[in-house]
Amino acid sequence: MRVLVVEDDREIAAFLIRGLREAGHVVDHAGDGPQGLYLATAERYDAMVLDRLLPGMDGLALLAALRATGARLPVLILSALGEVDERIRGLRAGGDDYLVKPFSLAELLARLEVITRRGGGHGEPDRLKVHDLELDRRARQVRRAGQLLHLKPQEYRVLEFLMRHAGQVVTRTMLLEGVWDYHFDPQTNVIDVHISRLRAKIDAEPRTPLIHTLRGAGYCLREPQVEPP
Amino acid sequence: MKLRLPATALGLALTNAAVLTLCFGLLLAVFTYLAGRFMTRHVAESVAAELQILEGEYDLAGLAGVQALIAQRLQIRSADHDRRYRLEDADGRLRIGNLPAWPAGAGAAGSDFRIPGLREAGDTRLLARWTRLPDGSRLLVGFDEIEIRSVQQALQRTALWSLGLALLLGLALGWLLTRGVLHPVGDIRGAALRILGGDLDHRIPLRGTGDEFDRLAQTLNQMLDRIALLLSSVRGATDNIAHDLRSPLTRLRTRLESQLLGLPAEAPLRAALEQGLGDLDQVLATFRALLRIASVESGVLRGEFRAVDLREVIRDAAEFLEPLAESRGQSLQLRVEAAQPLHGHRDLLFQAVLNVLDNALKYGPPGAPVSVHAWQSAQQQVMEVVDRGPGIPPDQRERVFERLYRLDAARHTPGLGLGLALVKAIIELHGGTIELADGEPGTRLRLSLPRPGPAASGG
Repeated sequence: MRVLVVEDDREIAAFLIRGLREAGHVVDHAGDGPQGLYLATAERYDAMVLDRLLPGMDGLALLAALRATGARLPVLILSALGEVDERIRGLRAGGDDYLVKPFSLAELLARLEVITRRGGGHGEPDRLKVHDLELDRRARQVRRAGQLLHLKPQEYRVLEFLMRHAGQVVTRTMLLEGVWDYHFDPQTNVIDVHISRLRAKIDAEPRTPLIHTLRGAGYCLREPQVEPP
Repeated sequence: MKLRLPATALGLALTNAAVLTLCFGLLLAVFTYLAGRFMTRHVAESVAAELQILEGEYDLAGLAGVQALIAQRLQIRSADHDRRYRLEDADGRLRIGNLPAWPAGAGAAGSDFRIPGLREAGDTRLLARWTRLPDGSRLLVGFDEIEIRSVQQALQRTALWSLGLALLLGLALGWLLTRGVLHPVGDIRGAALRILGGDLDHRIPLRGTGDEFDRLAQTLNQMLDRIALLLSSVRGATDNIAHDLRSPLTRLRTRLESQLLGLPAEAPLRAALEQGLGDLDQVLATFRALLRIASVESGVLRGEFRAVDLREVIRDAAEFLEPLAESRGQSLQLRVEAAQPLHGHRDLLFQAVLNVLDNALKYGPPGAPVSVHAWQSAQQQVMEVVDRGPGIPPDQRERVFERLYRLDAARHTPGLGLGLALVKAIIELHGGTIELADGEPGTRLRLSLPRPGPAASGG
């Protein structure tokens, strides 16, 4: 997909461009607000990564101007401010997600993936299926290879979130927001405990593991691959 | 015993009015008494003069002359005045007079005494005196004290009016005076409340009068400036460093991750870089926590307060931690009583409750339960968490809320030493308190949050 990076810090911009390209995206870069707004309105992008503080034009002002043109381009806001209320201000201004510097590339890629897939318009299906793992949302039942698994409500919600984002990287913060609806930096290994308990039920030997831990990033539930990544 | 008056505007106004009324009343009482005495003397002199006139008439015209003069006097009837005469001869027979009998209470000749009046209307005591004429007959004259009465009545009426007026005047004067005095005090209090509420840059407004209150406000403002300076320099030691180091650390992280991106999966450097990244993330986590505490303490997040169901937050946090507790053989025993929503920041409250429960699980021994009890009283909502851990020595109970403070016993457990500092900041942002006590054994931690007033719950 085509991504516009609006970031004035050269080093961070270079890092973003490189990381996004390695993830298979096409990247354009703007070093200040006016240029960013120009590119965002003149060209077609699938997503924009927008720094909160920019020379020439504040990131939120850029976003407001962009939204005023009716552009619905998904925007991920980056901020070094890190105040909790900044997040809400960013989202209110029309951002789709918000990431505090310093961030890990994996987190950024994961969130970018989510905001570009979001809003596809099609309703969510009643059944989710990954390999031989099936989740029936109506009956709230989970089967692996046809065998009914007994999950606690919380485990069910975590699995549902992972399956809805199957193939995507899901970070701890995204889980906390998506499953528990609380926004903050968990700084606790509780989520790892949740995952390992879920894994014990889903991926118990001798089954093929579906839930994978990505170091420094988060988790990913995906189809088994022939070759290791 | 020292008399203490409430220093409210109403209290001071009432006191002022009471004092003023008392003084006025006292003055009137003295005046009435003196006027009464003067009037009595006047009547007594009139009675004495009348007796002298009658005695003079005796000298001139004898008893018959006296009798004629009295008859003449009796003809002058006054509606107001009650004047009584009695002339009886030496045998005690009545010669003339409108007093039917010699009064029982009459004293010695030439002395004043009072006798009850005979009129039905009005009150009527007469001031009387008698004298013995040379032929042995007795002559008694009694005048009423109608002037005294009427003057006294007029005085009483005036007194009542003026006392009422004094009361009103006192109240009004007191109100004005105390408002003048208390208004600046209210200003100072209002400023202090705003500063307590997180607006640390607020200062007491000066009125420009240069009086004692202005000088007090000036001194207090100087004190606040100094405290702010001290605070910022102390806080700067952690927060500003965290802020300033953030950019270089961001770059460092970016560089490490960039290097990782270019390395093949099996490169020997990869493990080292990943470890470095992990360590760096730990440092960044500390900085983020410090900045978060600073941001909570600044009070700006109050703008995001909404109605929050504390019960739900507690249940969510307990549910969230349940796998962690189970993995250690612990359990969270929840007892959450009915409560109304309070006005607060949901995410922050969740984090506070989470930190408290996480702490209780972390320091409680494996296999032991942690009990959580939440209830609401008239003024506040309370959550009490009791663990069966080693407890916190009383002298360190305040210190565990400081940034980066860790108990000796906790040095070897993972953690930043910022969890409780953040809890404290969050609870204080909500106007609540946090207390630690002995859990007998273990630790008893109590969070108290104020319940919203009717005004707050609407918004």
